[in-house]
Amino acid sequence: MSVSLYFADWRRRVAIGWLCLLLVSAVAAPWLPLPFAPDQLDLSATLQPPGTAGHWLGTDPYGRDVLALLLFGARTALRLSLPAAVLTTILGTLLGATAGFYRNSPLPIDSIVMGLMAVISSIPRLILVLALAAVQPPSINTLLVLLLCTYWIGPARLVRAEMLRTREVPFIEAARATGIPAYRILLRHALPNTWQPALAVFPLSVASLIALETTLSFLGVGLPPEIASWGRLLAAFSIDPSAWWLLLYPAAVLFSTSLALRQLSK
Amino acid sequence: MVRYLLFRLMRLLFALWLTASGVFLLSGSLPTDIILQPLSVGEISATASSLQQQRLAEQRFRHRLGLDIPLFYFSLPTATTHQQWQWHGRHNQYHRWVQQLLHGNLGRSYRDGQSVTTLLAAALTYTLPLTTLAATLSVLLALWLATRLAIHQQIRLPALRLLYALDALPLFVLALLLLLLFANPDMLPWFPAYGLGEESELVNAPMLERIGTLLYHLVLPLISLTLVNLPHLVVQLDAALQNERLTAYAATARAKGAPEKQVVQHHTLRNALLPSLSQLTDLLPALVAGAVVVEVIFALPGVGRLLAEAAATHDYPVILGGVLLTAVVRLLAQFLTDSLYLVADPRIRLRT
Repeated sequence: MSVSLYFADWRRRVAIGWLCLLLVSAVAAPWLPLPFAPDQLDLSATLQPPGTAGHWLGTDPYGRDVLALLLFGARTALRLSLPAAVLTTILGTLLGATAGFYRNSPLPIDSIVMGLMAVISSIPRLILVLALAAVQPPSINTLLVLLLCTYWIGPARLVRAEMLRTREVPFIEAARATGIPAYRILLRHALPNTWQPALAVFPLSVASLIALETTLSFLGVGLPPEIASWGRLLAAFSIDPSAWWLLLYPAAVLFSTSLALRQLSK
Repeated sequence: MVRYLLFRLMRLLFALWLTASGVFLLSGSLPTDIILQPLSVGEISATASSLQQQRLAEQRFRHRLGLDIPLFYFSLPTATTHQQWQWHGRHNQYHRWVQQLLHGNLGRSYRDGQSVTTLLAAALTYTLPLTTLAATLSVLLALWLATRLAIHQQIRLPALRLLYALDALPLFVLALLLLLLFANPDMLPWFPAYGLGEESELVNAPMLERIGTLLYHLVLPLISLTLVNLPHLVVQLDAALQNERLTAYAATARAKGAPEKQVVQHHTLRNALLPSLSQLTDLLPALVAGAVVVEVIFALPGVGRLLAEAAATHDYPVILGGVLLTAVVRLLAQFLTDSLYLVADPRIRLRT
């Protein structure tokens, strides 16, 4: 599909616009002229509804500005999900391609990778990450490593299936017949034809990672409490359900981001 | 067939052992102070006045929890303790833990000293109805919806778009939105927001009333669990039905004058169910994971809330118990699906 055709759909253009806006505001958040800093406590103005005293989107139970928390929460979500998605896609592609390519070789690479995938997928992801994060000191890098260990199976499964198709194609057979070593066929001939499915699900895995990060923060596990996150705002809402602004704004941002990311992978 | 099922079972048991060991060994890398802090403060400061006595009390405490012996069969060389590999033999925490596990003993919670099996069993009495009801509801609703969509093709695309948007909402956001809409004195105070009703009022109430109250409190959790699982199920089933729609036998059924409703319900649905059966394997574990979120939000005393609280307080005997339980659920789901395949597809019975 050509690039211009990819952008022909107006929904996709809106999605890309929203994601760019989110990315830019998340990156530029520390330099934006916000009226309040995200860590600025104000115990005299807790749980203010939107529009009072300069707090455009209200305040949380500690008197922090919701707008600032939203922007810095986007920063946390992207800081975690983008590197995790990139690394898992690369790791998953390499492992899946290698497993598929060496399927019938005497080396048990395929059965090892398949066994690992079966092990990791036997426990629901949320519970696995929850259990592993709970026994480690909370930090953003630990969580990144945990996500890396559990998320690579998605792209790996897709790429492996694609590789099983590709390795039977005539040009691979031709490369074998000319005596090119197997690892070189894998890297130069087979891999460039198999990584597209992993790329196609990349936005989906970003969306899923953001959802997992907010869920973990909501449950109070994984990230240290001083880091702003959308999940913490929603946790504050569940303590005081009359503060609707603590739910609606983060939920709307989360929903539109997730929808936009899904639109990209269509 | 038996060999295939046994192979599945072996692989799952291996997965179980690997995950539990991973969690156990990782938990050993956590500084013990973090675990000891919340529980030992009272005990230690109550008995000890001087620093030395305090140290002694702390040691006794660690001994009681079994934290004073080596973690694994050997320890890696580290700069602080010793320079070479050290072999500890069978006298280590891991060996003791596995031994206890094989005897069915999951240990005691670090928080209140209750045995983990008791805690899990008590919590299961709430989680089991919740998840089984949610599973039944989502499967039935998905079946009904997919059949409707297959019969009325004109509403198919808008309905699928709606489901697609619903799928973008994480479970906890959906549950919180329901809480805001239907359990809020300012909006629509139809359902209770928290808990399972007053315990004291229910003890003497008749059985039927007790079940009624329980169900009334479970409405919102059930709706959120069902809605969140619905998109996947319906989309899968719908794709399968769409495939069957254009087959020759469906055309034959239409040609002999059967209305579309009968074609779908009596002919295509049976064949479309087969590829969708594998969805069940993921549905039950997904419901257990969903129960974590839903039980925290609606304050239900189930396994999920137990697990979330244990995770937040580093109470890892309970975490390990919860992980093992989840894996068992997965095992059951796998067996259920495999046996349903046997029932639904005679070809599989003949093949092996």
